[in-house]
Order: sequence, then structure tokens, then C-alpha cells
Amino acid sequence: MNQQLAILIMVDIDSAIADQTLDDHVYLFDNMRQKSSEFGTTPKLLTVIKGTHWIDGSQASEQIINWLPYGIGSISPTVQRVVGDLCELHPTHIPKNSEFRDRQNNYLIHGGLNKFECSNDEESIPESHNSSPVITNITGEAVDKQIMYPARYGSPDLVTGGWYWSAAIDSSKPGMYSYIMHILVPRLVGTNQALFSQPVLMQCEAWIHVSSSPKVNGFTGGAIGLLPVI
Amino acid sequence: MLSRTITIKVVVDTVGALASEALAGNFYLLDTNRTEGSTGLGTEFLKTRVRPGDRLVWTILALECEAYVAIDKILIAPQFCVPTKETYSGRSEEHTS
Repeated sequence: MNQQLAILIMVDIDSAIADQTLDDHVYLFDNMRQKSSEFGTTPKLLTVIKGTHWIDGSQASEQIINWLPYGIGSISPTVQRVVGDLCELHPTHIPKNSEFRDRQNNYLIHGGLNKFECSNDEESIPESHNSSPVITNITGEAVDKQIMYPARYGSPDLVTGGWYWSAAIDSSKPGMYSYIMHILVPRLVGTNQALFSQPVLMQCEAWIHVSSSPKVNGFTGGAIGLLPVI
Repeated sequence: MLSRTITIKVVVDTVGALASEALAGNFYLLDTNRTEGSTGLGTEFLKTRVRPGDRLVWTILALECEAYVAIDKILIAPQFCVPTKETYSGRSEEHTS
């Protein structure tokens, strides 16, 4: 089985919400940098997919890509979460005398977060109110030309809430193809002395480059075959 | 001036680092303060712009969700800040039927 490609989408959520765009506020990484994926860490990620054929000329298998979106300021997905409980505070300032306090000077935050008692007027809300962004769809040239076949899958792993997007790539068609990720970015809004996470839909474009280079053994760099036993 | 919390995220290509036996070329640094002047985001040469009183939070993430990575130590001149290692508290609930 070929190594699956992982594409990480890091979103500066607060800046994206402020500018109402993911431009300049999203960073894309994949795990094929050593295999010449280009433009990594910018919105212009070009993921290299090698192998339209094996070294003996036979048809290569499909390539699998997995996408995982996260917020830069969000709590790492490896931290166990309990619904209705917030583990740690990463304070972010909000104006004092705001409408989000109750009579006991507590901030009220809904959406799975605790109510926090505030000790002074300059108290702040946790930065970790930022839920992770969520991919809702993947479209574009690569999908239209039937190069990429994306779908959302469930996972028992609670990373990104148990859902992730994955796609099979038809590696028999060399070329460069673009695709668009439709991403929901959470925005904190306040209503009736409560804060809620409101999703805002944004888009991010990236590319795949299917090359005609033959697939090789990742351990030996040589042809596919038996691994050397030492 | 009000203090801010700036999150610095380290993204590590764990498999790449283990395969090449080096961290160089296999990690990326980000922070949440680009709009206030941080530079080098997405590279190995992040410069986080800070003000006196700001709180910095370092977190780390493996590029592949099956891999594990953690920050062992942060070395920085003490006149600027003294990092401490914190843990996220958690709780478990007993469910009765």
C-alpha cells in the first residue's frame, strides 16, 4: 500500500474572521516535502503525487490524500476533551463592561465551554474558544476532471471531531490540477450575554501535480520488491 | 496596555524527521500574531513580535495524526521570559445507568 499523503491546514482563525478571507491567513503543509511538494506552508500548496506507473511500466495504484484542518490558536487535537468542559484558558482580551457578563461578573460562554468567574474588570475569554475549522466540501478542476475523488469519512479517532476528508487520486493521468477546499471557520459572536461559535464559510485553493515518475520503495529508493533483510 | 496571549504552534513532520534523523527541514513554526508584525510564519525562522506583558503559549502538533511529538524544553534568555511547562487538566465522569 502506498504511503498516504497528509495535508495539514492551519488557519489563523481570528485574522481570517477579521478579514473575512482565508487569503494570507491559512498555511498548508503536506508530508511529501522530501519528495518535492512545493510552496508548502503557503496557501499555494502543490502536492506532488508520483507514480503513474511502476518501474516495470505497469499501471500504478491510486494515491490517497487526507486533509486535517486546525486553528493555530486552538487547543491541540491530542488534548482529551469532555463535552461541556474546557481544560485550559488561553486568555484573549475582550472589552470590560461588555455585555457578556452576568450579574456575578462571570463570562457566559456556550458551545461546550464553561462559565468563567472573572476576578477583575480586565478579564478575558479563553482563546481556546476557537473550535477547529471544518472542511465541508472539496471541489474544483481535479474533481471535475475525475482525477480526485474526495469524500468525508468518520473515524473513531476524535481528531477533528471524528470526521476527516480523504480522496483517492487517479495517478494514471499526469498533469497539474487545482482543487478548492470549502472551509467553515468559527466566529465568536455574542447574543444575550452569551457567546456562541458561528461558522463562516470560506474557500482555499491548492494544487496536485501527478507526475509520471515511477513509484519506488520508500525504504530502499529502488524498485518495488522484497526489503533487504539484515 | 492590555496583555495578550499569543499562541506559537510548532508543526512537525515526524516521519520525515525520523527518516532523515534531523529536525531541520521537517518542522514549521506559526503564531497568531502575524497581523501585529510577526514574520517568518510557516518557516523554521519564526520571529514573533511581542510587547511587555504578553503571554506566550507554545503548542506542538504532528503532521500525521498517528505520530506523536512533544516539546521537551524551551531555551530563551530569562530576561525576556521564563517558560514553564503546563498541563491541560481534565476530568472524567462516572456514568450510572
